[in-house]
Amino acid sequence: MPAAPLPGTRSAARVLACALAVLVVLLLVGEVAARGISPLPADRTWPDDEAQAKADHAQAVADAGQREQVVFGGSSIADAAFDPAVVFEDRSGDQRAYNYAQEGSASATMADFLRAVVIPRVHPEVVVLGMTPNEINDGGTRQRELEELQRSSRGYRVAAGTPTPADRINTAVTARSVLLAHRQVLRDPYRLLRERGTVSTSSWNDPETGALLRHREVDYVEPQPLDATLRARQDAVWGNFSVGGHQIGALRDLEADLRDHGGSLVLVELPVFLPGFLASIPDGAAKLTAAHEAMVALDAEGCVERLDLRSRLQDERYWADPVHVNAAGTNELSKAVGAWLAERGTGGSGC
Amino acid sequence: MVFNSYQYAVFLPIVLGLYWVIKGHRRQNLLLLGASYIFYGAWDVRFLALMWLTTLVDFSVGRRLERLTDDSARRRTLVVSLVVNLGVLATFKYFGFFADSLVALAEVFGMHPSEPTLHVLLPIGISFYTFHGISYTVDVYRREIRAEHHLPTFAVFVAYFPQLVAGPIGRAQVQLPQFSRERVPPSADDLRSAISLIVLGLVKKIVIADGLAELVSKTFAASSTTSAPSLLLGAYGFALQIYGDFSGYSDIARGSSRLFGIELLKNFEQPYLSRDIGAFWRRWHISLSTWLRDYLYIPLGGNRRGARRTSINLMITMALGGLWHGASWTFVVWGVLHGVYLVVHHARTPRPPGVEVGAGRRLLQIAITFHLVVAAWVFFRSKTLGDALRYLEGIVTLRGRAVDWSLAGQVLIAGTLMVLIDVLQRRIGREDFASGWVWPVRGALMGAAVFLIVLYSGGPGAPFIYFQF
Repeated sequence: MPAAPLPGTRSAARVLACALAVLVVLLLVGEVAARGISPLPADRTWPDDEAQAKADHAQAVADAGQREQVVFGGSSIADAAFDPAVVFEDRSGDQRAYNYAQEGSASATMADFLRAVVIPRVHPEVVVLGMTPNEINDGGTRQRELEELQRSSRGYRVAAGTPTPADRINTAVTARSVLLAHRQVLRDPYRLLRERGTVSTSSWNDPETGALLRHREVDYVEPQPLDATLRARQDAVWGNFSVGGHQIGALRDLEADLRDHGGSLVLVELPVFLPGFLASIPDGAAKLTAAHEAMVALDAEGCVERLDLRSRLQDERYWADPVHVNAAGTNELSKAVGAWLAERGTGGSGC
Repeated sequence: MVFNSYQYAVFLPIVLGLYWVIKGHRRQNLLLLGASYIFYGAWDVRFLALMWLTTLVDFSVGRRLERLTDDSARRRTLVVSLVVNLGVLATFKYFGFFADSLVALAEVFGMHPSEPTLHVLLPIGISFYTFHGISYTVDVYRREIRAEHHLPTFAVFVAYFPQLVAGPIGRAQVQLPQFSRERVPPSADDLRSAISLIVLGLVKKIVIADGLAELVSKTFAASSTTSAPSLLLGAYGFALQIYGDFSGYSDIARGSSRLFGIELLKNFEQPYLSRDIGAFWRRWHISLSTWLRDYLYIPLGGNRRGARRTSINLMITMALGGLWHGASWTFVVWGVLHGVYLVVHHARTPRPPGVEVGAGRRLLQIAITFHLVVAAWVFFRSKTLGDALRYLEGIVTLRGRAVDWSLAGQVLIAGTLMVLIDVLQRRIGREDFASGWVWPVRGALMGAAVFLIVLYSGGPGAPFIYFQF
């Protein structure tokens, strides 16, 4: 005959049962309440709002059974430079395009995003990347940090097909529960009041084209002397400059992947505002030369196409700062790329 | 592997199940040792080699110290342990810091030496397990404990996974006897208190600390342009975050360990309810502050050599305590600031015994102590001294009026929860404050706690802050 449970064990069992019942009731009440106040912005699974919004956009295009013939990529420099609405403004309306560039993304980070998210979902015919020394700097600590941050995000792991068991559980529960899919906004009373009834957005980007709007209305200001903190931030991006195998290798891998999907890669050498750039970036001239030589070498391999716009816009009215163009600059660069694409066509090329 | 992960949720029950199936404490120690190496090796197996080195050295030194009778030979033997432990710390944690500081100093005098470059990974938990080892060899040297003669038992004391990477810092006097005797399975009371501690720890880590982590990071990252109210909220937020993070870790560690029948040292005792800075340091990171007291402050002379020497000893202890946290001048300044607080506190005329103050005055004392601690946290959290000074400048110059309402909401939620937990623990005098309540209330509290954990999980999260130390 089994021994009678100890009083302590019986009490523990009652507490456990009560805890389970309360948990289930709270989850049910929470679920009903969350459904009652939805739509809500979904939880962020990428490192920042821009990556999240652009990943969501690609998914929405795929869910609608559509595709985008031309996509743009790069860092904030390309994010500001390419406005798809201007690139295709003189052409028939059936051309779909979107700017997937993201602040801080060097070539490897962008290539990871394009390969994991964009290419499998929107099947682009042409990927246009904006290039400056920033995008191919293997030594930048900030570039490395952002690459690592993206790779370690749940959004990336799931998109790249390498989810952890925890990711699988999260994906499964968030697909079924409004409460669990919107936990980030539900636990922030201020965001809940402000963003209830909306979906995820990045406030700095045009929702239709993805292009960065932040620099559009900014007039050029001469670079000022930097304090220690800002100098450290600048060094994290531009310091330790080296062109090696990492960023360039990522471009080669992107091109090969794109070719397998019937697409092609175009590298646009973007201008910087030389007086400001040379005054504010240490060894700026050498960095520009090294970046150009790397692009020429990649072009010579015969797999990518290259458009050289470096000599354009050497007037401060086009610039918000030495590397980001304002609205006038965006207009000029987007038209230049649009004209070049119109002449070239959007079909696949490659080697 | 971290405590708030699915891996740990699987790992702990498996190890626990096997542990209580196996008979005999030595076999149980072997199982714990293997589990601890798996737990630690999950980060990077290379780090294990370093731990084995310090374990073997401290084990051998302990046995030799017990055999030797000659004082100078004993001292020389102890030095071997200190050199190895502190040498490992200096190489893996402080090499870059000292090299950079020397180069900067040379540049002040017009010299431009080339900077030595040695990029070493910081092995996780190195500051904790080297302190375990030092406490053991010093205690054997002082003849306060006998040397351990069974290597796996000693190795499990060093590597015991619940406390390995972020403490509480183990003391040989307390823990080795527990590993050396038979253990009885936990009673229903032990089980209840262990599970309560784990759930409480998860609430502190996931709801309080992780709920604040991203908002606090943003505030500190943009401190040069953030308004004074938001900077103040950011500083309060970090004070709550680090308390939730570290005391949450300690709670989970102690709860997990209790399931194995091993009691770990208590590491926190409602520190933010302290009425003076001395009390704060008796309640914050207790295992470190008592370690520093016993192995640094008292050997320096403690308070036995006059007021001036006491102040110097306090400053040395707190500065080194700051440096223990990380290889950066921000940690040194944090320690020095606390040293100054303690010196001033010791210099005050002590309150006559038996004289109690009113509730209003008590609250004021708590508020003043809390704000002194918060000001020091700004140095602890900032990347550079310049960043910290700019952060404080933004507050004292009352820059701007904008308020980060998301941060304000989270500080309010976290602060309310933390005060509630601490006041209940203080009033009732137990960490598992609900243990005496009727079962429906206990059940409802547990259910609500798990609901909060579910609601606050699934975000970006943040690693335990003390893992970097």
